[in-house]
Amino acid sequence: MQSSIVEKSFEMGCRAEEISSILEKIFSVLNNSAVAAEEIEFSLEIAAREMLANAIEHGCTLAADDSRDLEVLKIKLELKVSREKVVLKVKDPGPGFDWKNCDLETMPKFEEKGRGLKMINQVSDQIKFNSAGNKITAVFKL
Amino acid sequence: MLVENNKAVLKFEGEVIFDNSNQLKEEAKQMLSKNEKVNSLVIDLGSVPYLDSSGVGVILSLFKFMRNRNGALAVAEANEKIKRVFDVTKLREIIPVYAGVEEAMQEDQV
Repeated sequence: MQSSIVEKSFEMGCRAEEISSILEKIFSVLNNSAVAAEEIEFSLEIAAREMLANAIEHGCTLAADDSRDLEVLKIKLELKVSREKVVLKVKDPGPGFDWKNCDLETMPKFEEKGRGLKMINQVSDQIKFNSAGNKITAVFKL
Repeated sequence: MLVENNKAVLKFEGEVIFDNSNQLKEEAKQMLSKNEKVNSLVIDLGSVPYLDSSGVGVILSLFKFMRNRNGALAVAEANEKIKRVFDVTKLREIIPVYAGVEEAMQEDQV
């Protein structure tokens, strides 16, 4: 049987205030997709929030440092839902980062920072980056 | 922050995320600095719908702040989403998480 696939794209500004409405859109697509995804809802929310936090805090900030106006910068999201998996992609307007030398496994113990990517890695089944490191993909198997 | 003798309850309101976490942390430390005798702090998360990785950083920062004055810190009233964040970040290995504030206040280590 062929998987039914829903694909949606979203765009948001570099503002924390927009995260809640984007999450509502993501879960609206998921809940209307006829796919049983209740078990991954917490994981997807944790990952999506950390992906968007990184996009705003690092990608947008670095892009704005590069003399680009923060008000016009956009974060792009892609959501794909099939019977087998949910895939979320977030692309920020920044220059990216050196993900190849990034430890995604070891959760910091007492440090105050450095948990975001490791959380995404832990709650998802797979994470991928584009070569520049300004687009992250998280895969959740159903 | 509610203070009674050497114990205090600090209630956070709203999401604790990257956008407000630094400010919350600094405000909490200022309040604790004005209450030097407090050696037992409970963070009440009953009015917090979500707490992200930077919120975990705030809790750890306050944990270290209390430890430096030979005090203790616990967390109470976390919802299911936040408990999942605590599980993923292994925060429970360091900081006790209680269902209610009263329960947290009664424990010896807090």
